[in-house]
Amino acid sequence: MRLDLFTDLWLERKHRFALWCITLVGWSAACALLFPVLADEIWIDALVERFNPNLDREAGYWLLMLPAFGLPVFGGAFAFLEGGRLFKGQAVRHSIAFLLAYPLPRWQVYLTRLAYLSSACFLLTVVGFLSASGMILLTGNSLPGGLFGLLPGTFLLVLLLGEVGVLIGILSPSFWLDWLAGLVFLFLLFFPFGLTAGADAMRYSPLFYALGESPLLGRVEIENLLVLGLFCAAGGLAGGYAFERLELE
Amino acid sequence: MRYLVLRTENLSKDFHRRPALCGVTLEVDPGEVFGLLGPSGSGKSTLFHVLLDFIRPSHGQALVLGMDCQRNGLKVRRLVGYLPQNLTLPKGVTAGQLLERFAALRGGLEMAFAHDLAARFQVNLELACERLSAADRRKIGLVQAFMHRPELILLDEPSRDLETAAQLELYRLIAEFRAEGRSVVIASQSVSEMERICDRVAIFHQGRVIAVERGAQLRARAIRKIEMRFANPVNPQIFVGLSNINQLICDQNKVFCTVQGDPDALLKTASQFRVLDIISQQPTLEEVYQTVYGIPAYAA
Repeated sequence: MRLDLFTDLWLERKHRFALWCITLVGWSAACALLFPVLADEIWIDALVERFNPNLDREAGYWLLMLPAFGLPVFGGAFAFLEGGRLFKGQAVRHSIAFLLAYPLPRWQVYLTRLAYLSSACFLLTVVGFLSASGMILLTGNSLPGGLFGLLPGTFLLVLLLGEVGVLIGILSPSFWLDWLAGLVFLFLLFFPFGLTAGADAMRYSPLFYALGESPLLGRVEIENLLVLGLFCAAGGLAGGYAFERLELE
Repeated sequence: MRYLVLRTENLSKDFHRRPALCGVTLEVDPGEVFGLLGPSGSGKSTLFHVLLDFIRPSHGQALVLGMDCQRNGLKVRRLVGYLPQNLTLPKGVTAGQLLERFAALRGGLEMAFAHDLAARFQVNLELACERLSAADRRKIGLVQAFMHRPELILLDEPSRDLETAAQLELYRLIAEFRAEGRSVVIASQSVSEMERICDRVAIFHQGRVIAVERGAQLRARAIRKIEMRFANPVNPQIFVGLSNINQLICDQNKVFCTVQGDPDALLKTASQFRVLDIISQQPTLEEVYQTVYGIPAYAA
């Protein structure tokens, strides 16, 4: 990885990143504003029941709206789109080709971009958790137990989505295919939890590996994190392999 | 065996089953200015991309400075300067900072020569990259291509967007590098540029090299459109006998024609009368392909 290229990427993309941070903070604020209205809704009860029957309604509401739905969707969308944008589009491909006209190995260029993506995903996740906690406290509620225990899994999940974006950005020149793939991936994230088949179906969702078998429990499950970490490593390697073979026309 | 700066052998590349390069075989000697002339999409940039290992050939081999450009990509790119056709510069940095970054990517270069080049091209290094004009961006691209004094320089449409003074400075710079024994390969769509600065020119057509001509040969075969305006009507018969004149049209005191090669005879004949104005135009690439090679420049 090259530090100068890494810094350049951050300088180049800081505004876009800031916009996503504001979106995430906005979502947390919206959840806090809607809390008095939604907390008594019956569907919130049903969702909390499905995800973790042991939780009380208040903690269930916050965990559902923030780490279970809010962060994976917003963070994942950011990571997926940003990952794709790091490698696709004519202007980006031209600037990558221009860099590669210098004596830089391809893996160095790839690793630098992946490092930027990882750091952005991590920062966005932290911003998400901090803003969520702030909003919960501001509304006079107490933080659900183990909220920050969900941070590592959420970060890895967001990163994995980013790596899928990278892979599709390298392999596909089609804009719509990317969006379609992103939507399918986000759907797959939550779909197994909507099935009544039980815990077996959950294992098809990356959310299970990020947040655990009972996602709202707020407990870190190391084995699951390791599996997710392995997925991330595999995603990173697959992206690197694809970039090594990428033809910059 | 003769040392060649660039040698390609039967180089071919297909994109989605569409041939972009077809059996391109070229040789460039040290200290030679070599041109790649052809319309857009004829394979010139693709050849550069293969040489820099952005893309891999479907068939054939390319040696740059005696090294296989795929196996020794890093070493090759250390010794080669490159100006891309489409140059995207980052935002938020000045042109000077950008050149320093380019120097750092080459392992830390002395900036004196880069500043000298920037001064020659009259580009303001204090300006932010996003505020640079298209011509200034091109100049920055040229400075970074030359600033490490490479053995071989690949320039893709170097004079595009440049004003006349900068173009002349570029030609002077190329001549200086040539005199130092360095080689320059230029891809361009401009016939006049090729005949002016290149020792030899490869003519590209739909991914193939259809001819390699010497610069002088190209000049001799060059076609110019001439328009002359005289003070009084002239007799067209006096121009009919000139051997290299074609498409002669006389309209009272105006004469239009095309001249292949040297216009000396035409000018001497015209000088018998009082000439008010003379306009000489370079033919388009399409006209050169049609008249010299008998093929359309662009695919139907």
